[in-house]
Amino acid sequence: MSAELPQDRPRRLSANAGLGDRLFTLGARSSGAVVLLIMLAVGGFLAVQASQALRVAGWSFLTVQQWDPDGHRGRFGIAAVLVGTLLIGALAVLLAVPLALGMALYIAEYAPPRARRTLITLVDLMAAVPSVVYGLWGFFFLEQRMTGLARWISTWFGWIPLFKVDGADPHDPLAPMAAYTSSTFIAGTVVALMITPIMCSVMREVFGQAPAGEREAAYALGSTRWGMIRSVVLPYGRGGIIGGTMLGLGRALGETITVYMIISMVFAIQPHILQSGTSTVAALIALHFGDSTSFGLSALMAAGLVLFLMTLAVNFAASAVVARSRSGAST
Amino acid sequence: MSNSVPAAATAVAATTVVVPSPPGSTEEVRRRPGAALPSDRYALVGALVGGVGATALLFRYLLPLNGPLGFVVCSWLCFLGLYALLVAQDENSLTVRDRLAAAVVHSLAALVVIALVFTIGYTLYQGKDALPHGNFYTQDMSEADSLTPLVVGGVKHALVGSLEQIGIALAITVPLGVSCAVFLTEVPGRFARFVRTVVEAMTALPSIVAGLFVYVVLTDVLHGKQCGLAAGCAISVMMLPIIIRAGDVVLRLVPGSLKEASYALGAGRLRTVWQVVLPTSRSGLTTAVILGTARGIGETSPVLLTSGYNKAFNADPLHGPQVSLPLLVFTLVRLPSKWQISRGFGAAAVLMLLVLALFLTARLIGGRAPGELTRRQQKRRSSASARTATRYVRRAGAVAASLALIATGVLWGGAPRASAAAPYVSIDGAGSTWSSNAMDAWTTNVKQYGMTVNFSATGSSDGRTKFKNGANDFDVSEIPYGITDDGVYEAPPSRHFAYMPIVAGGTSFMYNLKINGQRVTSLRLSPDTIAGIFTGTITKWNDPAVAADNPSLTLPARQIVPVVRSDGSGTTAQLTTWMSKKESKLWNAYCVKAGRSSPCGVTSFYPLVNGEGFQSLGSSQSVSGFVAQDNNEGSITYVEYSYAVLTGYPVAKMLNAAGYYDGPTAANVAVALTKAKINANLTQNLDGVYDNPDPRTYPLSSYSYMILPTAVESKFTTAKGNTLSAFAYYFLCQGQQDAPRLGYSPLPINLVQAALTQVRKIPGAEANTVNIAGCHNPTFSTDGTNTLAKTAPYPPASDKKGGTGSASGGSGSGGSTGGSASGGTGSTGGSGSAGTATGGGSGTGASGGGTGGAAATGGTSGSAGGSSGGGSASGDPGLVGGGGGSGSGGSTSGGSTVIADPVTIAAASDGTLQHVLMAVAGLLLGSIVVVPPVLAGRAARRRGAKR
Repeated sequence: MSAELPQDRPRRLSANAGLGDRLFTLGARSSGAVVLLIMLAVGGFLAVQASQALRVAGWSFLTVQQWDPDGHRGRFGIAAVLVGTLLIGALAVLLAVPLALGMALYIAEYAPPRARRTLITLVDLMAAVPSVVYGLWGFFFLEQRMTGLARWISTWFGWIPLFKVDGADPHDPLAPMAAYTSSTFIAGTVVALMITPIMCSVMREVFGQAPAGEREAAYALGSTRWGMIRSVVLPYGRGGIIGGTMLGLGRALGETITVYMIISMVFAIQPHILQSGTSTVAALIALHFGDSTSFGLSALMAAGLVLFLMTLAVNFAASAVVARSRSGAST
Repeated sequence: MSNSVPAAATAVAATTVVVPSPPGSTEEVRRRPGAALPSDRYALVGALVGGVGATALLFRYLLPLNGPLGFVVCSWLCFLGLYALLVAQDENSLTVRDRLAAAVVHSLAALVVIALVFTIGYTLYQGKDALPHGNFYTQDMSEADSLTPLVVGGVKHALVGSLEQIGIALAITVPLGVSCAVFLTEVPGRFARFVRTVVEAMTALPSIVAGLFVYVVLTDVLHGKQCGLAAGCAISVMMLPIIIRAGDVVLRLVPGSLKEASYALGAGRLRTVWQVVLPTSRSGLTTAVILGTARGIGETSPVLLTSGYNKAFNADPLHGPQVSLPLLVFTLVRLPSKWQISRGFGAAAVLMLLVLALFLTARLIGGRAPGELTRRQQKRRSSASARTATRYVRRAGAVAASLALIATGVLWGGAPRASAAAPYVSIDGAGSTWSSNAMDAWTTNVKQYGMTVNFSATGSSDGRTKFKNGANDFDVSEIPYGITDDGVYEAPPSRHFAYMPIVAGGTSFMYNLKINGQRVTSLRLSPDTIAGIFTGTITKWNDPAVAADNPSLTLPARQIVPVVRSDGSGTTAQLTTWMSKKESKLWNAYCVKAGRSSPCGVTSFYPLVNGEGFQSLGSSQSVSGFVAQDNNEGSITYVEYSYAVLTGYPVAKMLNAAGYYDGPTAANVAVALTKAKINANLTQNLDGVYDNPDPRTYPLSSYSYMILPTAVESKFTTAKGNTLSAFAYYFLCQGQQDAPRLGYSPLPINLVQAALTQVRKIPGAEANTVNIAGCHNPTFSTDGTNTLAKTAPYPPASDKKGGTGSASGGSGSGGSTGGSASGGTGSTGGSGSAGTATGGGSGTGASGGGTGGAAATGGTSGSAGGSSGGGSASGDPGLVGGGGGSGSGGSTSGGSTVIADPVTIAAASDGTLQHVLMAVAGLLLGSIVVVPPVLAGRAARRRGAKR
């Protein structure tokens, strides 16, 4: 996304700058430096604080499932929370991609031109809905209604390991519905709604830039609208689709409050997405920041650092993909 | 994220007044191929109708599906199939695919819009209870506790807190962000590229990590004092990269030719930026800032860690906790009270409206391309000179300045006025959720004396840590410092402190169980059974051990879902203290299974074994809220009795050493604690309580403690000490009267006396006012014994172990408090298992515990009363007397009635609905078969005629 615009640019002048200009340059540079300092301070601080815990845990930080940095054996690691984070992120992306793609295509290709701006505002609004509102909706409304679906899926597709629910016999009418609540599935669904608008915005923008000449050419060759979309818009916007998806993934990985409100924390790898109990790095921090000792805080920092590095990698990959694609030049 | 800003910026290139559209821009008029023919529409409608009809049939006969969701999905799939079929009748396969894709895209878009409208609509709808009250906008929460209806209390403090925090964030991010964006675009170079990369990296920073960063800095620098400024900083760290990136995108869209023109006229860089670049991109920059604000104001996670929670109005962002709207929502909706949940939704609705308002503003101001003007501006511009631009910038500067002025005005003006009004200063504490309902009521009550006490129920472990760091003025905890938890010794803080008992209560077992669709309220559990349940050895409600405790109940083969605390909790510590002392075998075995060492001992962090079906949630509010969800049948948790009282859910009676099953009522707790050994520092030794031979004992009774500072250090002052001592004096004496109503038990006189000695140690305490004489404590008597314990009623004989508790002979006449007169009519109840009652079961008519169901009819309450396993002791307002009137009858399906089928299968919708559905389905099916071809034929004919 950082590539230059294709527009004309001012020439660099080598004239002798006046005092005002020199001050301006200095001021601009220093504000850049301040921002840089703040940002590096956050990153550096995270790394420094985390190092205490990381030095104790070593590589086991990535392989241990329990979270007990203040316990006497100090066994703590993020294997379980990382898996939980990734599962929720993956599920959210899986659900959000068709939604975002559909919405983006609708806005860019199908919607009447007058409705377009309204729809764009709606999508932007959806991105700005506070996460706690999504959390409320997920916790009070969606959870009770999703358990039935979760149970149905696990009843009929329970033979797939992912959809298995331990300790619940679907044919037993008295089996507790609680086994299906607070699960990866429900959290992932709510997070999917939260990231849909972000993905949608990127995709819509890229679709809108598909060259009109190529569209006309497709129509002239007898293509239907869908044929045109498939042969022109989608290939042109591939970078935007991938980039938008990854941006959404980055947001999904860091989502805190919504997930915290919905899930029941377990510190063991939980591959069954319909089963109650999972954990994410962000929710772990929200849960334990208060009752940790300074070492526990350092361990939380380490978990936060890993989360940050992960979202960082995802975001950079996203911008690289978008920038390299044909459409990326002007986003 | 950059998502919204480019939205405003996309249409940009072409609308610029000066430059002609570059080739390839979006503004070229795009062809919209294909007009719909009537037959197309018929096909669409026909397929839709047919899809629904076919699904209705499928649901009735064929598929193992039910529920509205399944219906919609199935209908949709059927619709797609039929639509494809119909289109295929007269179009080629390419067109079929085109139509199908259009249908799919339209439905996905509709789904997104529906989801959005639904989320917002749901919040606003749920907020409807709170929003119409005028006081909701003009009051704070300091006078509203969980039992206060909506006519008192509001969100003013959170609204002001949110605005101030976002104001602080804007004051930091707008100047810094915009100037940095200008730097990135106007002073390009290697350094700018590096900064841009770093800024881009920081957009990936999860907001919770930004919060954690500020939180740790605070702990180091400010002794962990949480305040509004910290929250503002946390939001800034999160918003800064967003605004910089958005600003960068907007500034880069300023046409180069404009800048060239400026340079050509001899303007320098500064002049060009000031008079060309910034005015040109004003609309875009404003939009970027407003959208960033909308994101920042709704962020909960950075605020959760940094702002602290308070109930009183606090306009001073520098001192004391300052709650914001998202955090208030997050806190309120987890409380076990419908009023608080309503308020939470109301606050969410207010927050949502705020975001909506910001959006509308952004929409009005923004969306215009750089240089694009409104009509009025164009008129003005046509006659004005370049000075206009400068004026614009000045005005923007004035807005920023006035914002800053408002912030500082509030900062300097608001605070002194607040403190001048009251002789007390505000104090902050945190800790136990076990005693938080009592603390909540007390902090509300002392408001009338001008005291502001902020207490956030974040868990005992959190409270102790905060007190140790000097972040709080006091802490409430169930266990003292110096306990070795999972092998780790928790050292006492270096600051001077003392323990002071504040209230007694029973750690109770709240459960959600139904037999035959009726809620069980008379469950009885022995210690072994309880330990078995919470160590995973008893997994079914019909386990012989549970059945042995409840001979009168036909328990279902439902799985038990134990719900435990995931955070560091004093309640967990209470339970595990008892288990490690009395049930050490089960407890240690469980601990080993969970990967801890044996003997396991006391812990504040409940160990979990994966795959045991335990639920693990983050606070008393969460666990009781989970159990109180109608869906979560079969769940049981441990919480202070208060939570059960407030949610109106029943708690189990626990078997005591005398062989009686007793509930955690105020009287039973008071009796039990007569055997508590109080150590010299006032901490408790509960060994005697667990084995108290009095038949009126509730074994899991204990005290909760306040940890008080006894020296002026780490920001604790004598002024604060004065407030704290006055507050302590209030709740030790008068405040104890609230205890039974809330589900706690008042402190006896010896502990109040000891506690008052501790109060006098607080620096700033007015020793002469702190004396026992003026104390109105309900337990005091002339001879120094606990009145409550002395007058506590004995449990009925039917509650004796082995006394089956079927209470059948009881004829319900004795229906002491709850069952009242209606119990008398239900004398038939006992017939089923008559004679099994051993202890002369008359008069056991069970107050039962309707959850406020005061209007239970005579018949049902009678039969229930006669049979509900012995009812509760009289003299107590019903074991579960909910917040509303004391419970009357209507409790369980009694045990005496022989229950043939305890299994309720929630299926089999009623007959009429099915018949109606069938008829509709039949009609629809007919219409699929007949209508589309007919219409299509007609359309074809018409087409033919036209030709």
